[in-house]
Amino acid sequence: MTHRISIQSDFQEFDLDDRVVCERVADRIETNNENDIILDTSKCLLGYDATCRVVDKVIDELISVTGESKLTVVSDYQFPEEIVISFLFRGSKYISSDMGGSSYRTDIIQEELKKSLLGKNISIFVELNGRTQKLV
Amino acid sequence: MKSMLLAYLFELVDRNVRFFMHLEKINHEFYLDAKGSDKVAFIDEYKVCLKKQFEMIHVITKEIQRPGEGPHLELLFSQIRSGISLVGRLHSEGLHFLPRPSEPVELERFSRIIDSQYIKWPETLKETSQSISFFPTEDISETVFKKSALEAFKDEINDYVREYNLTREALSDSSLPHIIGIEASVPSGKSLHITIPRIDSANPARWPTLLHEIAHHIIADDFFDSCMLDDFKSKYLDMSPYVHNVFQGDDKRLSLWLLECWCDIFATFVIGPSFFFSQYAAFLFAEPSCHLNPQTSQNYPPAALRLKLILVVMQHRWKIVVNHDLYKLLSEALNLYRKVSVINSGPDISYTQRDIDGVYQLFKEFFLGAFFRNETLDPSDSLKDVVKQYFRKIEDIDLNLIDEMVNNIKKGYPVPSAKVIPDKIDERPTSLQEILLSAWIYRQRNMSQDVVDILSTNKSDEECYTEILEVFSRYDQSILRSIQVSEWFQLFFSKERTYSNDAIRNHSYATPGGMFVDCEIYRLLERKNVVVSPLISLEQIGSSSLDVRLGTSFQIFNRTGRGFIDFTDEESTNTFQNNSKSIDLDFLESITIHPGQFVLGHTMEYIKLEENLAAEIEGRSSFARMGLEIHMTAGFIDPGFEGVITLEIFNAGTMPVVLYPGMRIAQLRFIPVNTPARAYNRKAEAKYKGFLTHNYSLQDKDLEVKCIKEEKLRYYVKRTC
Repeated sequence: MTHRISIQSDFQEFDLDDRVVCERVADRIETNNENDIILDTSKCLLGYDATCRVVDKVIDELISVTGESKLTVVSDYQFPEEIVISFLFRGSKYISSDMGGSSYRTDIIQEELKKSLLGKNISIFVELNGRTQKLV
Repeated sequence: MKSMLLAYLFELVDRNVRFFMHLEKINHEFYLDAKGSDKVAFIDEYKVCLKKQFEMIHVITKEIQRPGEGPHLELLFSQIRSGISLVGRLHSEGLHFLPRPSEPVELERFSRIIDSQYIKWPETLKETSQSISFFPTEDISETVFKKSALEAFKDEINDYVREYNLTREALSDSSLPHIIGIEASVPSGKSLHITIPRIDSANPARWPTLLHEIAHHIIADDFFDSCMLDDFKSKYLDMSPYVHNVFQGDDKRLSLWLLECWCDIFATFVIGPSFFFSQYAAFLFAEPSCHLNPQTSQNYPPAALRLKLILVVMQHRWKIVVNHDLYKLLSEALNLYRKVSVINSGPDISYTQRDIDGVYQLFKEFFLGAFFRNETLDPSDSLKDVVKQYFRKIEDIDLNLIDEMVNNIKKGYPVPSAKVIPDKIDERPTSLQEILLSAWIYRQRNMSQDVVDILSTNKSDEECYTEILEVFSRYDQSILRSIQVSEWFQLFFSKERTYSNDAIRNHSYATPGGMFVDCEIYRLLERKNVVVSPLISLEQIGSSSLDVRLGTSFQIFNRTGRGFIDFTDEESTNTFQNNSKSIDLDFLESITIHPGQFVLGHTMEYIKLEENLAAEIEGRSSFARMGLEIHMTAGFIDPGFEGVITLEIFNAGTMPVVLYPGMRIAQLRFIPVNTPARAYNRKAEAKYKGFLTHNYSLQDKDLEVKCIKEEKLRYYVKRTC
């Protein structure tokens, strides 16, 4: 079953550009052992080195579930996809390479995620303003 | 919600109390002798208004603390906001009518330290940077004048003269006099003029904001027009609709927003995290509606965006901040401001919060790229050279040290120095950045709670107000003294030491008895049985004494044929105080004591004795040989005493003597005593505890003086009847 986690309505938080807020949210996230999670970050601020902590937590949970799992991260930002993807994943523990401060390249992020999550039976999608893109 | 309300209420208390303190200062400086005059009545009316507002504050505190949540809490938010706005209006519209009291010398000191230790001026500005002048004004926000009214006047005069001479030549009319040399006599000025709200001129915690104005001076007004704006536009303009929604093609406005943010970030890097708090306080005090209302403030980015940006660059600059309690305080302040600014948002706003969020995200990316070489590198090494060129030093933050400083402020000590190694005796001067940060942490964490605690008691409004005034006054004095003394410490600290204290360290501990000797004094200091702040040099430890230095404030008494000293007579007490002047010496300034002259001074060191330890103060022989006495039969210091020691300085010699703060002028001898039942610090009636500067004779506070005063009054009234 699909489990939807909405940062705004479930946690009354919006600043996912704040590391402490993200750590707080990550601690409280519960996926109920579901293997299809929608992480809705609509109306939230996103940012390097912070948002990835929440995303990482959900990935961790999904990896621990038996069988195939799926994560869809939703954002309503009207930025180009590569920017939003970089906001979501830059700084993630699943991305080992040092991407530097101004790199937004989705292909590198994608490559890194694929490498780290190989064999973990997880697929990751990003849904931006109704348009969905598969990352892993 | 309630903790946020209490934090907001504390800000209102701050504004109210500081206004009151400012009025007291005016009264003391200008109208002490003018009881009953119109001006005094005017000031008294102000005070009544502020006290009335305080009564409201007291009521609101009780309302907040009533169990349960509810819509009334939102109403309280609006009431607090109106209260702050009211004080702002009183400041900008009412203070015009009252004279400006003298500014604390530390404000001058602040500009000097910034100039000499923190900022490296661009070549083009080197001459101008020689004097940054701060002007306390009635405005409630800070402003920088790159060109003051005087400068503009000079330009106009020069143009006028030039035009006159040209006209004269054109008319070939030799009967008209030729104006020569006026241009040369009206040279262009070299000062940078920055204004600060009057009630904050003696509030050092608010001074970091001034760095933002200095940053405006460093960067040219058209900097963003010429290069940064193009850079920003090329990277981000077409990236999303947010920039368009907010700026609607107005490049000038976009460049001004970028400029404001650039100055904020620059100031953060110069003065450290205290800048965030200082800006937060400035934004709260400024007319609340101006930050989100594009009609009234099109050129300024919303304050919440600015604060968030400062916070995020701070995280990159000092990664350590995130894992400390400091970050919680920063976040709480930001959240409170967000809450306040939501309330403030009116129907005039043409863009949505989401648009502002979008602009923030782009600004963040842009500025991280502009300031940092690579955000994943070691932050101390990652600032770009283009930014580094403006800094004399890149200061890191030792949060353990800051915690120690906060604890000391909490105990009431000034913090001009810090231990080099914890639990060791050696100290180093603290930096301006460290003093201001510890001051803010203390304010946000402890002082706000202390004030709420006072408000929560069942004491009367008057009692609460007096207590809170003391809390604020103590805080300001403590920080001002710390800034002042640390500069002196810096001067002595920079000199190479030749003295070795190994002999003292290694000497075996003697059995206590009589007066303490050097190795015992060393241990008293090490174990904090005696606190001496600052302990500038171990050379101060003599064979059986500890040298103390001359402080920076003095009370100079005029010779007068008028009046007499009689503390049972209030008028006489006022006359006595009016016949003297308090002065505060700036760095490297001196005081001359003439033969037969008597002044009050104080030790630079703040002393705290344990309850089983007494001390005696004596002059040093070098000064005695010049005829200088440093105390008048009041050389005994009670066990448990705490504060600077007031010196009663008298020149009994035949030559004037020039004294400089920092000179080792006296010595303390320590004597073990049995712990008394009521040590000095525990006595409610103790008059001279915890002072940070010299103080008058407080004989009028003695019980017997009060009794005589009352009885005299009763007796004379009876006789008259």
